[in-house]
Amino acid sequence: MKLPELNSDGYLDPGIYLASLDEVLQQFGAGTPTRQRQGNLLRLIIESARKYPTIKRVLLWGSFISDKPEPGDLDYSIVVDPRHRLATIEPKDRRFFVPFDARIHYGADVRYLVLFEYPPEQFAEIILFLCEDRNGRQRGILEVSCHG
Amino acid sequence: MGKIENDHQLRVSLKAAKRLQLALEGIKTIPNSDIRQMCEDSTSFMLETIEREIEEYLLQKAAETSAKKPSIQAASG
Repeated sequence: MKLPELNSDGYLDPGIYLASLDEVLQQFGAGTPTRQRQGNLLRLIIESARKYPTIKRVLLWGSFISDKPEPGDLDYSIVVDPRHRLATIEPKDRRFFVPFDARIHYGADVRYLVLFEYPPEQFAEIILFLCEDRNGRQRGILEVSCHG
Repeated sequence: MGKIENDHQLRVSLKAAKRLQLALEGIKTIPNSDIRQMCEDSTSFMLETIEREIEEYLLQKAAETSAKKPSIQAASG
């Protein structure tokens, strides 16, 4: 399914859209060297996430999924299953999925979240946070399923 | 991540910080300690980033205000 067109603000209309990695890369991972670089990073993240059954999906938000030719960062979050506590993250993947390691890897301005859907109130606050841009405009986000 | 450029963006950032603080309160009730820690760490780091941007903007604004004062005084004197 093709992703919807971006609106006049340069974002997806508000909502959470399901997308495949290929769809995301086709629309947002090309056009400029910055986007290609961030697209390659996203591919690595999703491919790594697929190794862990307890990482349910990756949410994408921020300027990467906007019409900005030079997005500032690749902003993403992972949604985890309650059994994620039992998952052993491989050393080479920790930079993507373990907050402390991600902070070292991406720097102090890390825009990465681990999300748990329970209790729902805290999850809702985070989703509302992800769906609002710096000017307070509502925007859509993307959900890439990691398992089928 | 860019910087806050005006007072409207400042208000939005303050609201975002409030949201993350509320989320952090909820995260504290996640039953499993390992998952709670991961969610808490990542949300805290995000909150720190936003708070730092707010602080930088306010400092910049204060510096601009104090820089303007002498010229206002000169104009009025």
